[in-house]
Amino acid sequence: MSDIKVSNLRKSYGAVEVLRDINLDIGSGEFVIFVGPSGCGKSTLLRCISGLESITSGRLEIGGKVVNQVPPSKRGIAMVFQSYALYPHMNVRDNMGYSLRLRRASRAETEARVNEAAAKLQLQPYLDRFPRELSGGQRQRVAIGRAIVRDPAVFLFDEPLSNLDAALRVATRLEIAALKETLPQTTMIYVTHDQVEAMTLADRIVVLNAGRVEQVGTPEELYEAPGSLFVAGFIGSPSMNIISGAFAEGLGAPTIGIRPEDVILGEGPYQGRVTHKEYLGADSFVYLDEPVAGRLTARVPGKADYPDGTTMAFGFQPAKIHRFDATGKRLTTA
Amino acid sequence: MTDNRLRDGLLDAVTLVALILVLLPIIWVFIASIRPDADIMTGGLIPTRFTVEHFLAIFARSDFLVALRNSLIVGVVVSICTVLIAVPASYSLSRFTYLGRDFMGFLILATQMLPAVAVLVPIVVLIRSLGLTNTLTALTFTHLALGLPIAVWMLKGYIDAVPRELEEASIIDGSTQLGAMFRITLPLIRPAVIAVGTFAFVLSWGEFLLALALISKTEVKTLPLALQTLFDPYSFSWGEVMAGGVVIAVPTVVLFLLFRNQLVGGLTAGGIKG
Ligand SMILES: Nc1ncnc2c1ncn2[C@@H]1O[C@H](COP(=O)(O)OP(=O)(O)OP(=O)(O)O)[C@@H](O)[C@H]1O
Ligand SMILES: [Mg+2]
Repeated sequence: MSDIKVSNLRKSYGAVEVLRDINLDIGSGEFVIFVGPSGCGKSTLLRCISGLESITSGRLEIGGKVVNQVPPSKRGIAMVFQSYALYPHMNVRDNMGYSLRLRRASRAETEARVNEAAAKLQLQPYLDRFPRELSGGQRQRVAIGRAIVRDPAVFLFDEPLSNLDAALRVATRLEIAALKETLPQTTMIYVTHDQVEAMTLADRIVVLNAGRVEQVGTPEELYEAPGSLFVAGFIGSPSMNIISGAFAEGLGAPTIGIRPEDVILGEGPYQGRVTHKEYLGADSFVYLDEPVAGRLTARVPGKADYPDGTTMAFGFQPAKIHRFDATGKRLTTA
Repeated sequence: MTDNRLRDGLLDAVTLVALILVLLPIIWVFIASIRPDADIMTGGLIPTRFTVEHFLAIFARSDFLVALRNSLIVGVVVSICTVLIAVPASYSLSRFTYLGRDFMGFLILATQMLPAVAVLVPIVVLIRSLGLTNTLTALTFTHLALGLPIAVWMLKGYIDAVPRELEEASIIDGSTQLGAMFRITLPLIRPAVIAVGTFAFVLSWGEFLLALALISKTEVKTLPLALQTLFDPYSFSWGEVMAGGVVIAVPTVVLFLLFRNQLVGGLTAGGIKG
């Protein structure tokens, strides 16, 4: 049992309120990802759950028990830090066995569990090395290994991949996905900036904005039906075309959003001038200028062979239009 | 190219001159301590005859041996107490937030703004009114007060440099804040702790002014004071003075050699990021 329930959680530093009235229900074994712009409070929320940061008001339950006053080590959690935070003066084996030694586990048990975790993460060749003798990716794996060894009920990650290069990030992402499969009982909370990580790893995504929960949902829900303009603009890359004014009114809402891949080029009721193109291999982004709507992005498969300056027809399927009211809330009925 | 070489040569020359300026008196003391008295003032810098009589002579003097013992006692106690006090004090200044913390840190630093001479009189008066003149206790306390502020600030700098996340990781792994300090932070700043202890010892070992003001009895004199009594107007020997100088210099040199690697060590590498 490792479900997490956050009720009316607030966190202030002095007069600054960083988290405002957070309510979350995270099921046992779920993989939840926190996303949001820099400074919105993702790390703070994670640290509140871990117990490294105290909660100003509200309630935090883990496994059905209120843990507001429970110290971090008694919450059954493990945390992987963005900077890895490996103990520099201990080798990999001692780093991974540290928590067990603190718990006064027997030598044999410590050895067995460290080896088991090392095998899972292909770390056996490095057990006697010191952190400074490892590459970034290896350090990251040791940090994950150190967390696994404790057999935690809840796994917390704060941007664990942000210090890795692109290729390694993909590889480690797959490893984390695999890890999740092998630990079906373990609840995981993961903070990231990376859209791809969020979309691929998460069972559910929590979008935070300025200390508030903006929306919670599966990656599909957030992408297909963003609950607010903020989420619409935040999820998806390149981001959704947001249009307001006369153009939007014409389509029945104060503001509308349309994903770049839903813009159909070459046919449709509107005319736009091509201002710029970006070729990405599998697809291309075409930037259009429409007199009323303004600047729009379209995503087309393969290479876009339109010279800059050409005026083209474009349009979109009515079903793909996201409509928002004046306050930025999604309008459910078109 | 030639310009560069010229500049390098110049810099080398300057370094050499500085080195000679610093080293010459020290070398001279060492050499003089092993030469017969007759040669010290007359002979050149290169010794031709050697003798250990000066060392035998000073080690035969009971007042010198007492002073050696006193200096060792005070130095070791000051060194240990400095570490025992400076570590928790600097840790608290670095890691915790509480009312008046910054002000206290400032006060500790402010004590360094006054030269020791300026506080000499109040210290002597204070020690006198406590009835502690001519005791090693008085020396121990004053030496502690002399070295602690620097020790605290130096350690604080090192502790500030240890990422908090390391301690947080330890706390999540199951230690207390204090446990994290002992198991993670202290091992990482060990070179600095050793440096601070060494520094306190050396400071106390060579301290002359306070000792002169507080101590007059032979049984509680420390080495620097004993060295001064070697300047005996009736039976004066340059060689013995030099030998005394060498004895004062030796522990400092030995401590440095012993902890050389520790003092230059940089242990934090690798724990954080790539
Ligand atoms: N100790 C602190 N004292 C005061 N304000 C703080 C403190 N820690 C964080 N904050 C503020 O709280 C807000 C949220 O910080 P947090 O680190 O949670 O952001 P984040 O979402 O993790 O950002 P990023 O994506 O850049 O890591 C920020 O505006 C930050 O300035
Ligand atoms: Mg953060």
